[in-house]
Amino acid sequence: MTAQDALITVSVGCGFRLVAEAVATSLAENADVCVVSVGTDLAELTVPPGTKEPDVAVLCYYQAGWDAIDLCAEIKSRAERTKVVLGGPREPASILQTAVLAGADGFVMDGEPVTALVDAVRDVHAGKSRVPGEMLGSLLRGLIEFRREDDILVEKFASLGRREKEVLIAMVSGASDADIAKRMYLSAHTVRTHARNVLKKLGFHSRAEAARAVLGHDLIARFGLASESAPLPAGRTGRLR
Amino acid sequence: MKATTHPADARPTRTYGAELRRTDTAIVIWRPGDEPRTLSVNETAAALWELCDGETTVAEMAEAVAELTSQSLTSAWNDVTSTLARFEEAGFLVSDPPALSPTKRGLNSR
Repeated sequence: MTAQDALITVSVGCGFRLVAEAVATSLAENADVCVVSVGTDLAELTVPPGTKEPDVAVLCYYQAGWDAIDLCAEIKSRAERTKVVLGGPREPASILQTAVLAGADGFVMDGEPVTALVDAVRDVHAGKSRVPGEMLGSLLRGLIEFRREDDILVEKFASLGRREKEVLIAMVSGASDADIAKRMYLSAHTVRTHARNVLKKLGFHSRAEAARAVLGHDLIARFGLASESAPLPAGRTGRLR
Repeated sequence: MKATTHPADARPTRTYGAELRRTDTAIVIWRPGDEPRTLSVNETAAALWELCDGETTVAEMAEAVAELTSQSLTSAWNDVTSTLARFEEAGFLVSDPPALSPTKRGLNSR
C-alpha cells in the first residue's frame, strides 16, 4: 500500500480557477487529504489512464454557465465509486433535488466554513451522505414526488407502440417532422399523427415538455432504446439506473 | 399507549394541532392544550414528521431516506418505523387515519 492509498484523494472543480485552487489549497492542508486534480472542466479533472479515480470530487456550483450537476452525473457515470460533494447556495431547492438525482453524495452550503467541506469529504468517503439538516424535508419530499411521477411516466411510456416510441425518441433528439418521416419511411402526416398521439398518451402539452420528461427520467436508456440520430444529452437520473 | 407496527402502505397522519418548532438549540414537536405534549427530535425525524401528511406511505418514506442518506433500504426502513413509533407513542399520529385509495407503490413495487 502506498502512502497515497491511505489518503482521501480529491479532485476539485469550479467554474472559476481561482476559487478551485483556493478550495484545493484549503483541502490539501489536511493531512488525510490529497488533492489529485484541480480544474474548470471534466478534461482537467480526469485523471490519467491507469490512475485510480479520485475518492471524492468537490464541485462548486456558483457560476452561471458552469453546470456542476451535469459534471456530477458525468463523474458518476464514469466512476461510480467516486463520491461527489457539491458546494453552493441553498436556493433554489430544485438544484439540490436535481443534484441528488444526479448522484451527489454530500452538500456544503453557502455560509458554511471550510471545515464543513473537509468534514463532508470525510463523511462521503466513509460512505455517509452529508445533507444539511434543514434541507432534508424538502429533499425527501422532492424525491418522493419524483418517484411518483416516475412510476406514472414509466407506465405511460411502456404503453406506447413501437412506432410511437421511435417518433418520440426522434422528437426528443430534436429532429424535425420531415427528418423523422424520411428516416422512418413515413409520410409527414403520419409522423404528425404519431407525435400527437404520443403527447396525448403521455399527458403532455408540448414536445418540449415531453423532451424534458423523457430526458429527466432517462426513459430511453432505461427502456434499452437508442436514438438513431443526434446523441442525446445525458440524463440526470443516475440513481435510477 | 403501545405503538403499532406500520405496514409499508400505511400513510401516517399528524394529529390535529401538533406542530414542529425549531429553536437555536433544539427541534421539538409539540401540541398545546389541556395536556400539552412535547417530543425532542433530530433533523431526520423532523423531516419525517413533515411527511406524515396522510398521503405519503411508509414505503415511500423509507425509500427516499435510503436514497438520500446512502443507507440500505432495510436500515432506512428500521429508522423510519422506529421514528414513527416514537411519534405514535407520544400521541402525535392519528391512530386510524381515513383510508385513501391505494396506490401501486410499496416496498416490493420495484
